[in-house]
Amino acid sequence: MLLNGRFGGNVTLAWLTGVILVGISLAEGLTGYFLVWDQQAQIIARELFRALDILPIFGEPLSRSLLSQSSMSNMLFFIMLFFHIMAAIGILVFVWLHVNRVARPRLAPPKPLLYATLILTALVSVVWPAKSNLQADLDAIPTQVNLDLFYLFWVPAQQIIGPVGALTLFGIGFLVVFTLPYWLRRRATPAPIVNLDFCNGCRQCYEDCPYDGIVMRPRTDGAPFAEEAVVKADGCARCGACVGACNSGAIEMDGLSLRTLQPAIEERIRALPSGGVRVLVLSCQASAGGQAGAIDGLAGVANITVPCIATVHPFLAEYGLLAGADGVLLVGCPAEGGVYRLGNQWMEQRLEGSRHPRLRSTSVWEVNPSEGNGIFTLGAGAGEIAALRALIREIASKSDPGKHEMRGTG
Amino acid sequence: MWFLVAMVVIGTAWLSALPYRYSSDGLSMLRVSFRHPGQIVEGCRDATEEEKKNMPDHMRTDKICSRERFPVRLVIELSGETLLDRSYTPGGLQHDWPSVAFEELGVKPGKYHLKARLYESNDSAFNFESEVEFKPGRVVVLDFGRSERKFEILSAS
Repeated sequence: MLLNGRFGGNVTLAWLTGVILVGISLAEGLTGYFLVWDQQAQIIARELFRALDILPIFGEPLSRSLLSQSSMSNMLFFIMLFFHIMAAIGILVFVWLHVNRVARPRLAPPKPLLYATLILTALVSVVWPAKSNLQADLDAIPTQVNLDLFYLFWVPAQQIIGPVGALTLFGIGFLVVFTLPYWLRRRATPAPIVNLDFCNGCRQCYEDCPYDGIVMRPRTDGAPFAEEAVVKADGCARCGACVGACNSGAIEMDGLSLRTLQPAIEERIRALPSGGVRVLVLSCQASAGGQAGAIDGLAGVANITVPCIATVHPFLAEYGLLAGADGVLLVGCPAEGGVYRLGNQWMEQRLEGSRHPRLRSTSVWEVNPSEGNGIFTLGAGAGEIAALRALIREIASKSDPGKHEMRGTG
Repeated sequence: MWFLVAMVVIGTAWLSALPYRYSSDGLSMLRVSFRHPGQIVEGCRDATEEEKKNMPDHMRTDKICSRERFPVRLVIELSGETLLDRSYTPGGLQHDWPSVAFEELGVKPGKYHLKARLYESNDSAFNFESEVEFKPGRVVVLDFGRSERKFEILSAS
């Protein structure tokens, strides 16, 4: 999330709730360990209360509840059990908030990863079971214990720098991470604009929006369609998936639309030297093709960068061939870890014809009958420039230069 | 992928039960605590007729008393050596709540003559004296005012 820059704009809520979820998960683990009441629990209680006692919010030090074994109250366990259950409920609530502005959220990991984790975790738990430490005794000083540093990473830190230092350090750290969307905010790309003169209310932009950026509402301009698309700027990630979804070129984002990209493609292909192989590359800005200088110097290659590969309407790939390119390469982010969501999936489905708007395969086959349809795809992250260059060379080597001359447009 | 997941699972399992030395062997500790209100700083005085007139009917009283309390001072000595001498400010915005203390003091194991004094004002104190043995790894717990207004040892090593 952080490396991909996914913490601001429309995903601010997801970032904030995600940071809170980390904190609640920590509380869930700590209260769970407390209930076991072994020596680790004793250390958790002692160190946690030592830190909380600094805050001027309790009438008397919480540490007094850990005075001695004989004076300890069962109420403490009841309170911890209460917080343990509340934390679990909190996780559910915050997960719901976390995905609130995301369309089609993927809550479960991919099945192979899920099964691998389940099987290996079960195996490790049998071979290397998690055991409790010795029973807690408040009248004794714990010395050597097995500590879960996944949850208790802060205990050694607090022992070294003291509760004030630890609380200050983690408090500042939490605040910095929590407010990252504010500190690292970027210039906001203008939200897409819907031109109602071309919008027929087909709902495809609404279907394709990976977030919560488009709503459909009853027609307001008197046109003979039931609905019109409306962009919700605060729910929009500016990925441009709606631009690529619009058959009629009604949606424009920061100068990008079907209507503006078409002449740009023609212009770029025409600018390439004639007589050699010409390859049109349409790249997601975060992919290998979107990196400055990645393929700019390659002879016979025209590269156009878009916010997300889903910004590309399939007609534009087809038009690249019609405009004289010998091959068209669509470069998206890697399968996992893209900047936006669902871009590669929408692109693949549009090209194979299982999702609107579909690639008009018959017309492309007419253009390039011997080499497949001449349209290639690649998922390559910023560090995979070599793979991208290799594929471009392969496309160029397979192509017959000048086979596709511009038809119909002069 | 299996290798990567295995590394993560084994790493998490290893991290979840890492041997850790929380404190050194052979230490002993005196844990002392109290929750006790210091005496009120000033006594009461008679309210003037003007003051009585300004009081609401249901709160009218002949005496006006300060609510502020003295800080409670705790002095701990082990065989004549002062281990702790500290004053605890009363709680509350007007310092009218009890003072509360919770201290953990490292002690070398051995037998000591423990002397504790708790001052609730400049001229009123509670005293405690006892022979106490501090054993390695154990805690002696001295509490004040749990059941009565006096010191008591809750656990001895």
